[in-house]
Amino acid sequence: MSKADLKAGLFLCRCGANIADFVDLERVASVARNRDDVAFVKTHDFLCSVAGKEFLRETLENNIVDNVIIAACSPKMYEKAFQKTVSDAGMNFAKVSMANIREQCGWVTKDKEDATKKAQMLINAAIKRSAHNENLQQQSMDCLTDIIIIGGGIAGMESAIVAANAGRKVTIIEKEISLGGGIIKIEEIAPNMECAPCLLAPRLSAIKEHENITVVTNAEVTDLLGFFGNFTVKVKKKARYVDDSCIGCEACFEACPVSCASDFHLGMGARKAIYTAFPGSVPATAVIDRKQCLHFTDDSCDACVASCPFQSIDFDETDEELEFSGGAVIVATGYDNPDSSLVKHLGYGAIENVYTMPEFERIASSNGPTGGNIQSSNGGKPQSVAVIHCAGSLSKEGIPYCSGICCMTAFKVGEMVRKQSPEAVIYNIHDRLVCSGPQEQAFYQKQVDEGTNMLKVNSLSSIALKKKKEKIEVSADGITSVEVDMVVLSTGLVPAEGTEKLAEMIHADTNSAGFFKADHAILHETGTTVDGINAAGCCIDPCNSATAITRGFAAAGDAIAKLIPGRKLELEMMTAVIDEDICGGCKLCIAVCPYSAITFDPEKKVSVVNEVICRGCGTCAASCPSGAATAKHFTNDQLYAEIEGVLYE
Amino acid sequence: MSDKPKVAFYWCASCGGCEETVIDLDEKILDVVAAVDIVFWPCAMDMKYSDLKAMDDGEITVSFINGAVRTSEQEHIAKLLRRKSATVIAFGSCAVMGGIPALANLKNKKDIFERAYLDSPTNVNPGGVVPQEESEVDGYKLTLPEFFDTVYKLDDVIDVDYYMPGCPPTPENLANAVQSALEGFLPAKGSVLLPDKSLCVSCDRNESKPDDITISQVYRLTEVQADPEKCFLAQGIICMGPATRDGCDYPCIKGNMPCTGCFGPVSEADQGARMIASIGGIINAEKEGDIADVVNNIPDPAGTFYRYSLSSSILGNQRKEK
Repeated sequence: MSKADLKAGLFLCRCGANIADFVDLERVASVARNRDDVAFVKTHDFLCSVAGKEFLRETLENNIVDNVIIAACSPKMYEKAFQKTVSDAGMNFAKVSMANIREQCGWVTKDKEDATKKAQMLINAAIKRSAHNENLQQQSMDCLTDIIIIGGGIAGMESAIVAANAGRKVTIIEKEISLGGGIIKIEEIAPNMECAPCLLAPRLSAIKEHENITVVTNAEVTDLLGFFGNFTVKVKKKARYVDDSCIGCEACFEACPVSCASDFHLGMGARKAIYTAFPGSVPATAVIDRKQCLHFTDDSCDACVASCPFQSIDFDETDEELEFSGGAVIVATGYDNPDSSLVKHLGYGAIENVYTMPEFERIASSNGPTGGNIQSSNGGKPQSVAVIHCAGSLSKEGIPYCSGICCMTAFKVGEMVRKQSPEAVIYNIHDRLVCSGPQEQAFYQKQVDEGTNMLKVNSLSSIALKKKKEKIEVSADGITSVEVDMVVLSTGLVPAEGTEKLAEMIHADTNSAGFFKADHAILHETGTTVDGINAAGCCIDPCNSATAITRGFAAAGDAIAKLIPGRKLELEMMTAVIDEDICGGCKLCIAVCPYSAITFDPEKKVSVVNEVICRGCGTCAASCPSGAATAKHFTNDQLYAEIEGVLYE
Repeated sequence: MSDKPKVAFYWCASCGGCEETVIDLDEKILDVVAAVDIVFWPCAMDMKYSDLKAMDDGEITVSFINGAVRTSEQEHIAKLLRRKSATVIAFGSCAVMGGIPALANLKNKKDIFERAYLDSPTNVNPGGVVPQEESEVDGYKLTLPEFFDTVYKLDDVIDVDYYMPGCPPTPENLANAVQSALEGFLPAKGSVLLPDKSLCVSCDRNESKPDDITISQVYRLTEVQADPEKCFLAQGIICMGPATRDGCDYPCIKGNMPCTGCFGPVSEADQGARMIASIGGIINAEKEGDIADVVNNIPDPAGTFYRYSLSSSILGNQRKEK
């Protein structure tokens, strides 16, 4: 049948008065009835209603047409529903074309005569386009339903527990030697001052005991292959030199003669060459620091071997290359604290008793270098503390953004110092404060009520620190200078080290600050720009613990809802296709594809679309220099016909 | 006349380069002459219009017509050849898609005449005379062919059976076409007698093109020393290869010059629009202003992207003076 012989059935929706009052539907109908390419015109009050869809189905069952035109509201509203109804009537869903005569017509064009003409143009365009509509088939594929999580902080752990409880096999890949991420290094979480280790401990044991969860620590992702429903993650697991018979009894710690700075304590405390991050870590297995251990440096010691009651020490252990498969990946790589150079101008590194917030958190932690005893370098309890907000933030040279969570953490300093020294004087020196919601506002008020001096400066850049005998003088425009025993610099959060490299490896975009870019900032915050790779916690943007956990929950929930055991993964139907007879293999489409769905076949010298990954955005079709790439259902023929339909009667 | 198949060559708005292709057949032209009778070739042989007119309809086996259609005379001969020929091949980029002459479609007839006969600083034309289709001299009426307002491609004025773009097509292209025509191995009517693939498929520099190619700056050839091994686009030099039909054996690129697109688009694409869209996709820019910085350095966009294909472009022409 030639295109000229195709007949469309036209349905006009009055949408109550929403369309009928603005567009002369009777005239539209009578003009359309005279067209050779229109078989019938039917009008209905509410096509989207149950009765309306029933009317649509019955009409199509009793009147065979090639195409269906529905002139109604925006296709965003009910196109899917109408497609379903048309399928129920025995036609291919792709034979439905919608003309938006409500939002794009009746609602915006005031003059009824103009609106009616516009409606006719839009309907004409839809009819012309429909002559080029081809049937589309739903495609599906078997998928893996296991989940791979990169990062074992509070967010990744939450994702793991959610997915594992739903019966999925979960692998957590963590670069540190044990789980816990950022939250394990702090004592209490503002604003409700909840005990962080107490929140974490049950989760750590749940993971440790969960038969569905495998934890791979001291490991980094080296490559990620595949696509939504079938990912393979390659991992390099670094040797621990202690096998997993170790229960973390710490007997070897005493035997080990080496003492070195602890990175868990940010260099403020010591650990041995064989160590765990903290007692009760998961996994409990200790690790030997190869750079420090005398066995490795000069083969002069094996004290730990003799001390170990479980014969767990294995100096011959080597790095391992591992592979894990799963249907979805959750990135939960967290954040880092900014480089100390950002706060150098505030005396950090030069003046004693000037600490960054993460350092203060360690000092105040019961598993910290001082056992939770907040003390100055001379061992005394500070009687006056200044907390400088936005240290290194909100400036071009430093972190340009507000991390949103540091004000609460900064208020916490006074709360914790006062607990140990009730008479201590606290100054919170700030320009702007962020206290969102009633709980945060209440926490702020509590600090004020309990005596914290909130000092508002005129500009952050005017804040200066000076050593004054045993004290530190803090001055700034707009405040009277204060002298204190200790200064805490409230720093913000930056993307975790390696975020950019990981993003490149998994082909995900990052945002201007360097965090993972959300698939959609509102609709899908916990998705990356790669289908099937979700993101949780601070790796999307700085957030507090509650949000990190919620994101972990969401990222896992989204993944397990889409990957159902025994059910196939439905693929995007309106994908791009590259005609291999035309494609010259210039590879320009590979460069522009936002989903990395196109690869080059070096044998055939053509580019190939992986329809599993393709989301049908059409970027390749638009930029293909030879016209080999086309977007299904948005072909040039269809688009030209539509344009022609608008321009010519 | 013998029973050998008859072949005709004709030039419309043409530089003569396509005729060179026939000459460049070298000794192979002897094979051609042995196999066919050349019955009409105004550029090279002395044949009369009246001879052509006297031939039977369809008597010529195949006519190769090169050049764009700019004047009524060209249109007239093209129509006559069409009638006399069983097969017409649009030969060369001007006949296929307007070619270089079609760049004149950025202007109209009035602009062109004013520039050529009145405004050009080298003109001495005190009377302000411009060509007229009819004029009287000493009582005689003289006529000139009409100069059209638009440069047409051949199939705008006659039905064309096959297309062979190229500026000019190579002697190999021509020899293959002649052989195919004589042996009756021609594809479906309307086909282009060349591969339907882009030049990159043959180009030996394609392997040097990275998958994530981006352009941060566009360079003119005079600004950089082009790396003779590396894909031009990857060097920031506009190469039309990706949007251009294969079949030339890329002599320009072998000479370290980027493709200018003379073999026209692949498939039925609009060559210039396609290439502009492609370049747009690979410009490395954060902000809109950065894109402009890159694009503004593209020399002569119309001449770069539509050097040979303006008559077949969806852009159309300069608005006509009524």
